[in-house]
Amino acid sequence: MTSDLTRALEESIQETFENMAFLETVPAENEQNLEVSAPMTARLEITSPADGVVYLTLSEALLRNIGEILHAAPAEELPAEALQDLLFELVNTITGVMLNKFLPEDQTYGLGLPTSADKKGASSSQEKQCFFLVDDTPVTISVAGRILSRDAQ
Amino acid sequence: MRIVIADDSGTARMVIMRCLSIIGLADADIHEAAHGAEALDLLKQTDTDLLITDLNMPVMTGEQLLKRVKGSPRLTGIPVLVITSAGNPAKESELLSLGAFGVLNKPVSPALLMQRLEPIID
Repeated sequence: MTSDLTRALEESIQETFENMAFLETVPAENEQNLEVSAPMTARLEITSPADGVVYLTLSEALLRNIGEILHAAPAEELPAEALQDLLFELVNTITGVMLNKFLPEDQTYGLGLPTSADKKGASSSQEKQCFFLVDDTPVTISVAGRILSRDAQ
Repeated sequence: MRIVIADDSGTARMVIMRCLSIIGLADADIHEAAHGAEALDLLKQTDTDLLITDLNMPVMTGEQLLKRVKGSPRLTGIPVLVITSAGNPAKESELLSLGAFGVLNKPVSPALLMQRLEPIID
């Protein structure tokens, strides 16, 4: 367990992208210059032990690259449904790994089902947003809600 | 060897099948289900050697599926491995007490899967 949400997010993003798609992931140092082209965003609710919501945004091109690795099929032939399913599985996996690192070991948690979302930047100061480069391509993830509070643990 | 994989994500099923292939189960007779109820139907059709299930699925969750399998005299002998993004030590002991033989957290790797499945494959 780590009390540092940023570190939990970094480790969860790295573990997920490296294990699922063998892609190198590093925290982005200059987030101002990061613009995700043709962005696709997934939203996942955390239902317990406290409410929260996670947004994951990455480019369609990166999703196609990952899909190509997983499906062993040409990137351009992957249908939109396969890309969306991949995005949903990524946010699901990342959130689980992050909560496992952030919450105490004896604390179970509940997740909703991922949905598509339109997300641009942090919506409030009560939101933690992190930026990464996956295979040199920008990825953003944000977490908001009471799950961020120490009291939720 | 007949294996049923239940996960609402086609990507997750693909990742599991790739891992199974890497650990030497490329020739297994693998059947996919998008939720627990579909998996239960597949399990009732023919004898199955292994059920791999996610927890968080629509229609019937993995936990409900596990209870149905372990509560059925005909199906109770099927080993159930849970692969989930909502697993931690507390959840793992809960699932083991319900009859699962193992719990793995996503993202799953071939090495971890091999370690868990070794007793069954042997």
